[in-house]
Amino acid sequence: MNLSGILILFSIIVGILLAKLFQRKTRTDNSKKYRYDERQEVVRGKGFKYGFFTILICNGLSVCLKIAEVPLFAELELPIIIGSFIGIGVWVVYCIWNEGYFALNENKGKIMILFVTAAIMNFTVSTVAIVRGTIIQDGKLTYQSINFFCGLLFIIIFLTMFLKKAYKDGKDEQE
Amino acid sequence: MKNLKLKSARAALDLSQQDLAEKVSVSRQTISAIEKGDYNPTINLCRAICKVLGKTLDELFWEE
Repeated sequence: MNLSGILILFSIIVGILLAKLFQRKTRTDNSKKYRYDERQEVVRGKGFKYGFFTILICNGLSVCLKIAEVPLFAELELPIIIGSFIGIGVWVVYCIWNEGYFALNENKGKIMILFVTAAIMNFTVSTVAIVRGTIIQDGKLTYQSINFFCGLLFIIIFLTMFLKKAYKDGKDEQE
Repeated sequence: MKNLKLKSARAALDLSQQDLAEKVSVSRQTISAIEKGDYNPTINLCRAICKVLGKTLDELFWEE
């Protein structure tokens, strides 16, 4: 494994540890787990199914295009990672829209702040890559564009939360 | 189909959806979905709701 590989692995581990640490801070009680009610569990299960099939379709399509030697916008690893992001996006957006994403003991405000922070951090890293000109090589996107797509995913999730809140507030007023 | 019996039983005790949701450990949206008929609760949740509202399963969830 070369140096960049080790750094990527290290970054992923640090990211997971930070996410775990932040999870504790977002709970509104002292329980060790997030609590969901039965309807939320059903919504999350359905969302997971849709997300899983989205990943299967996206990644299957990428592999088929590669086998058929259709020129892709990047090497195969990147479309597969982007396919995973799309799948995660489908799951999260479905859960947020059907009010199954946030646990009963979760602070929504802190989560929204976390997502905006994550989006800004990812866009900052991708901006640096764009300025350095390392995001595209030989006419194809490199793995350094992952941060851009990750930032985009967080923005989409944040916008869904925002739209859902606006939609819900409007509905509450009607009732 | 809307569950108007649940809504009226809740209103009779002057409970909001949020109050009832907290008493049976579910989200307000779940109570709203049950009242609107968008979600069919499990028997465990039906029993918990009946206990809080002081009604029987038949009184709240049986369709005439």
